[in-house]
Parts: sequence; structure tokens; C-alpha cells
Amino acid sequence: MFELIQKARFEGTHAEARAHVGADWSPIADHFPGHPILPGSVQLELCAQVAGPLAERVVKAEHGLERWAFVVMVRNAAFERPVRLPATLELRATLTRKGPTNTTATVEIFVGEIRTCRAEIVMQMLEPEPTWAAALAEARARVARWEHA
Amino acid sequence: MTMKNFDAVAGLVRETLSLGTDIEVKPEQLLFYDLEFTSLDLLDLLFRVEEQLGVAIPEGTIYRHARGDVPDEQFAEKGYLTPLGRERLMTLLSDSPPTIFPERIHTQALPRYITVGALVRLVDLLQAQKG
Repeated sequence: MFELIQKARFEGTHAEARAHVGADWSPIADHFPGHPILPGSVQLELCAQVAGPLAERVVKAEHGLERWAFVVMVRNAAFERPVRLPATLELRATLTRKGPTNTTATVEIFVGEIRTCRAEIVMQMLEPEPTWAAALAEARARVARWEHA
Repeated sequence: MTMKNFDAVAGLVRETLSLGTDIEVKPEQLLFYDLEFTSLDLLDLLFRVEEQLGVAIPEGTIYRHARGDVPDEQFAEKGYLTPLGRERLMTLLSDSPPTIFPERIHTQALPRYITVGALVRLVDLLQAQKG
């Protein structure tokens, strides 16, 4: 699921990312045969994949805290246009709430000039536990790859 | 506490918990104890307050209001309220039963002790400050 985002840039409370989903992406092969459309749930997942690292960076910068973002709520989600596959998606995220334990990012997805999705991703910022070390390292390496792409 | 804001907040509490209109929401009810709020419910309610009543209640608001002019190090230590901090919180939330306040109160747990009425007073205050 994390392979869809190809690159990302983070600056202050904003992030932009690009994702590409092929028409033959196997996890959604049945959605729908001959008429591949990206499910809204996957669009929200992409929003969260950008919102999470953005929130972690801002909380570290503003509160000096190492935290890991977990999605706890999605608010005001709207799917304004169907995303026919294959498609290249541009994601734009802005962190609108940046408390040390709770953050919210407003994320929009565009295909070309057309906005297809917008949502507010609410995240709880948790202190990492020692057993999460490997997963955290992998997540950081993944985001670094996005940034260097 | 203004009745206008009480009616509005009570309505938002009902929406948050999907309560029927036959269930009365009272000022003295504790969000977490009497109404069985979870931390997510509170977050949801605060979003609704911000959208419907035009005031943002960011994280740490109760902490700041309870602390007032007291230096931070006298109000809390290592993530817990000092005895002075606890006393000031109990003064701010004077309509919450004293028995619900444990001896050690984590600084991130302060919203657990708030009543509907205290939330309305906070909305009143923030609206007044906003002008």
C-alpha cells in the first residue's frame, strides 16, 4: 500500500506528494473489471500517508516531541469526482491543528486540475514504544525515499 | 454561563453521542463520567464547537486557564499537577465534585474532569475574548 506514493515534499505545516495507481493494481482488481476506479478508502489512505509524517515533523519542530501519528478520525470527507485508473494523483496537505497529542491535517487530492477528494485527517500523536523501533525505522526510510525521489 | 451557549453546547453533545432529544443534558453532568465520553468523543465535540460556535479550544486550554499567572514549574512537575496546580484546577472546575479529582493528576488528563457547564463557561469566555 505504501508503494503508491512516488515522491513527497514537506515544508513547515504543508506537504505535497505525488502518487500513481496503475489500472492493473492487484489489490483493487475487482473494483471494477474493465472499469478500474480508485476506491475512496484508498484515497483516504493516501491522505493519511502524507498527513502522518507531516504531523510528526511539525510536532517535533514545535513541541520537541518524537511522536508517531495514528489516524483516529476522518472528518468531512468528500469524493468529488471518480478517479479512473490509471491515474497520477497530486496530494496537498496542510496541518491545521498541531497540539502535542492531537493533530488535524486537511488533505486534498487532485488529478490534473480536478479535485477528486478532500478530507480532514485527525491523528493522535503517540509516544513510540520500544517494540515499534523497526516499524519506525522503516517508515522513516520510506519517507526519506519519497523526499529524495 | 449563558443559556444560549448552553442550549447550543447541549445540542452538540447530543449530536456527538447520537443521543435522542428525550435525553436531557444538564450543566452539572461530567462529560467523561456521567455522559461516558471517550477522548475521541471530546475531540469530536470540540470540532463541532469550533464549527458551530466559532471558537477554537486548542489542546492545553484548561491547563492554561487553571494555571493563570502561576509559573509553570509551580503548577506542574514531571507531567503531573503540583498540589497548588491541583487546587487551582479544582477552583476552575468548581462545579465538578471534589471526589473525582485524584491526588495525582496528569497534565494531559485535565479535560476528564470537566462538566457541560464548565465547557459552556469556557465557550462564553472565549467568545468574549474574541469580541
